[in-house]
Amino acid sequence: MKAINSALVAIRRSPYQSILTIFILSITLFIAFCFSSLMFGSNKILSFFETQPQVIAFLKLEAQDEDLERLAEKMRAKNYVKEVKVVTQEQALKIYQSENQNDPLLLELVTEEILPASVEVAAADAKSLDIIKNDLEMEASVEDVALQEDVVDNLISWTNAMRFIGLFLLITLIITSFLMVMSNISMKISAKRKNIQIMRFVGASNAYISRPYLIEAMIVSSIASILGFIFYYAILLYLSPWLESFLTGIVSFPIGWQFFAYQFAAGLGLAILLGVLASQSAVARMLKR
Amino acid sequence: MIVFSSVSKSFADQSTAIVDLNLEVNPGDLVVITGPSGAGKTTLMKLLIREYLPSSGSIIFDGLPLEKFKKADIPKLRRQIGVVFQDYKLIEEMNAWENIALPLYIAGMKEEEIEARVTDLLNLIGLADKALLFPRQLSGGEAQRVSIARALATAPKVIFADEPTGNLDSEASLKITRLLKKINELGTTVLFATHDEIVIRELAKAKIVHLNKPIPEKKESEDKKDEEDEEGKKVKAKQEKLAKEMVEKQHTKDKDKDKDKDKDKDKKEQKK
Repeated sequence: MKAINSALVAIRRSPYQSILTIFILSITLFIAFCFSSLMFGSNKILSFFETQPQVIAFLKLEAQDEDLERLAEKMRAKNYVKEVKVVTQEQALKIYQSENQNDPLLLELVTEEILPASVEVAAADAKSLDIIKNDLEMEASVEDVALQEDVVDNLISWTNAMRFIGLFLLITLIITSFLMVMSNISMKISAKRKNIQIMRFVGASNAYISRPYLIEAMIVSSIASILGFIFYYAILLYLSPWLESFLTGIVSFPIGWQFFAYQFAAGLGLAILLGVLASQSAVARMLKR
Repeated sequence: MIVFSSVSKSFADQSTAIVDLNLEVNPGDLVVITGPSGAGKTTLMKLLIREYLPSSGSIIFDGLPLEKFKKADIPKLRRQIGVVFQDYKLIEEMNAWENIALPLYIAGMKEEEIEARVTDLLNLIGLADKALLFPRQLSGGEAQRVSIARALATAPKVIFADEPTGNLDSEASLKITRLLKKINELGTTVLFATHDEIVIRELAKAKIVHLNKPIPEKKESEDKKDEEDEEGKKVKAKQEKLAKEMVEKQHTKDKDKDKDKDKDKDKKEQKK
């Protein structure tokens, strides 16, 4: 018989088992889609913070403009430095004035001479921050070095924690789904043991016997993957206004369709792989008996 | 074509199904395998389709020893041996047409070829008008004919019919027997396992192989037990004999006493 027809008939004849399997698989895939988005978002946030000026070297008040330019050039030449920004005493005053424009007293007290020029350095990655700090501290013209290490460190530890929890949740759900599909197929094979025995007597190979069950698992997994994606996309659309304001300057909205296409393809692949492996295990186990 | 050389088959529970069977079947033969229930007819079929391996001896099919067949090649072997079962073994969810077509789908034949072949087979068994009926809608004889058609579907070299008339009345049995006889006359080798006298009479001209029910071998402990039982029986018999003798003696004593009493009474009456 045509294997696809047999698989569809099997789904139709045991709808509750199939619905349960689809439901569990859909939840797994929904979590997988959410997790992948979360990872994408957290990576974007992390890289956003990583690319911000992270090490600021304040020069001595007596330092000349040449010293400032020389230091900036020296830092730009290093391969672990992503960006170097120079802030002269004049620019520092302007920044100070703009930040304290509501407090005239503070503005009166501060002049250009008491604000140091600075060099703001962004690292190519978080690991280079300490090296950059050491480089700057060794410079004679530098008075003090400020490092925004804590912010990035916190962000990295949060991201890692999220990754760990998300992965744990995802692996648990994948194992649950695997066992679910396996027990569903095992039950179906068990119910059809007599038919399988007859098929063997008339010359059916194990591959022929297992084909409809593999196709059934693939169909169920595909449906689950589509449902999981629809649910995930609907929630993402609902949360879009809030996410857009929260991630301003980090992730640009609307997100390109390519991202969703890749995500859906990966989810579908994962679901089919899960379904095929689970049903193959069930079939192999039952045919051995 | 098929050669069984000193084939024995025993199972893990120490029961023996076949002991030292020698059998040669040539192409086109019609062989009737008879014997009581438990004589090993079904085991013989399962040995032939390599569901079982013999405990000793060898089976050669078409020049190839069956024990040397790899697991992956067993389905191919089974496509060359059509099997008809006593309980038909039709798939309940499939109609007659689909049941007959099943081995053809398994063999990977094209749809048009399957269509033509199944139609021919339905005509051969005379059930063309019942092609779309499901097994539960067919009579026993009809279901068995569908089973025969399924066995014939892949044009096997051999048909093994394992008690095909076991669940049928005499009229249906004769029809099935004649159908298998006809199939044999068309050139297919047929092995017909049965203990039905009507069938054996119908196939009187066929080569008949009689399988005897193997006598279970006794273990040493069982022999001892039997000896003990024998002694026990002897003792019991002696005890019964003694008891009988004692009862009889008691009975005669009582009778003598009664006689004495009667004599005394008579004497007293005479004195009076």
